[in-house]
Amino acid sequence: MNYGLILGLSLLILFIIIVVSYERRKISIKEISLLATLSGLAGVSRVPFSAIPNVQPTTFLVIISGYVLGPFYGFMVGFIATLVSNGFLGHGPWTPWQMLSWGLAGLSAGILNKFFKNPSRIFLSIFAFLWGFLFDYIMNLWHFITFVYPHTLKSFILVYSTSFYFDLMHALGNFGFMYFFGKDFITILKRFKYRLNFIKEEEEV
Amino acid sequence: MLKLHPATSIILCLLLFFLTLLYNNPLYIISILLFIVIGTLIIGERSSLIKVLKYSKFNIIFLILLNPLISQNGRTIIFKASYVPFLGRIKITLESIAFGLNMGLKLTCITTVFVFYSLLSERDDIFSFFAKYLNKLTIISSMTINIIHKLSIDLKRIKEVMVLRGVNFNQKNIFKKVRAVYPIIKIIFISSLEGSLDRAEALHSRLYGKAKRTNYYILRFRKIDYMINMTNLLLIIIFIISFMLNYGDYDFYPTLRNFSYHELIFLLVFNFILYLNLLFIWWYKKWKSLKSEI
Repeated sequence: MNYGLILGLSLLILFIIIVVSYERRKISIKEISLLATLSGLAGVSRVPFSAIPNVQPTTFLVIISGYVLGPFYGFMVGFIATLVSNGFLGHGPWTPWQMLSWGLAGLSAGILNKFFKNPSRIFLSIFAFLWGFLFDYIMNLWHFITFVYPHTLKSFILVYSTSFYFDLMHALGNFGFMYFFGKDFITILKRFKYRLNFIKEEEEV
Repeated sequence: MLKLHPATSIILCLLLFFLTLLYNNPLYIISILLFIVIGTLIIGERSSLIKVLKYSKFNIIFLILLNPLISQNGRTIIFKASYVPFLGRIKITLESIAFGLNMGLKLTCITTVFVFYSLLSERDDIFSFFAKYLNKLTIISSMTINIIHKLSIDLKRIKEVMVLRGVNFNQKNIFKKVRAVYPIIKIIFISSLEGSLDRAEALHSRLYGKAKRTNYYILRFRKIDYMINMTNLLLIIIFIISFMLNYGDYDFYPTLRNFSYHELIFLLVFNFILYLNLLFIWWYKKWKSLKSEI
């Protein structure tokens, strides 16, 4: 069975569902503008840290966006940031998987907020650290399923171990960003969300 | 850069992408790769091709090295080791190297499809095409592009100011480097959030979202689009036949087999139809009549 093809088709169908549900959603221009700004920030932050291998503030920014604004917005920030920033950095077979991985990072952060209203700094940092590994594991999945044969535990460990140091750098970068800057950025974004809601309510009145 | 209708370039590239995934026969993979390479050269984007091939070189080497270590299948043994830590007893076979090479070519093919897609249609046309059907996604993407451009200018400007104030960004210590970059990100974060409200107000005042969006200009199918879509249809038919006759498949194990006469004849038919597209692209570059709308 061609697992690579099944995975590719599933991803295509998933993206079509996401895009259609986004198009059908009632969303104000202020929210669109905020999403675009956060996506732009997440995308542009890939540039100044490009000298340090696999240290990506994008994951951190996507996680805090999802945490403050909710799962849907978190997913969309990761989704759009990758789609647009890869237009500058280069599209490839990695683009859909980056869109999915960063989207899921934002989505999971939004879900996390539903269960933990005031998590500690270290808890959030560990969450971001885990996403450093998870992100790269999702990225490796397609590579492993499509181009590596046979699919055994040995081949799985061998493929995933080749990128271990890169994954670790990503995870440590996320941990550092979240530990030192996470609370500050969350406070700023919460304040902004409050302002946005205040304006929305004012408009409705 | 060509100026194909976005729907044509999407159909062609999706077809190339899925054909690469579906075919396992190296001859088909090489045919598709050669088609993309020649197509890119005809369009005149040699530099983009070299860049992607340079990157793919490492992927091919990685897969050629990795596959013999994890696959112990194949009969033509090249090297045998009694014990290697974690891997145990290993034998490196010609078949597993060939399989790794085939997978490397497949990955190169898929990577080049993305480059090829970016050369077939104008970006503005792609935006106009999607704006018609995916209104919100297009507006958010175009706003993000605008913001990324603005932010990169701001980033440069703020960095220059910080350098003048004595901040050293070229430090070797990674922590000091991050500490130097952090204030820039914070400044940009706050100022861009403020800017997002202004942008929203500007769009709101222009009544965005109050009525159905209008199109500035309509994209039309040209002669070249009809011709390429016709070959796309033929390619789908050829694929279905090859799938039924099991021509696109190839078993690397236990030993590499020769290609049958019928298989090669079918490959010629497949290549004839696929390479017709190259002829159309070449004509399009040379003849003005193909650019006209019907």
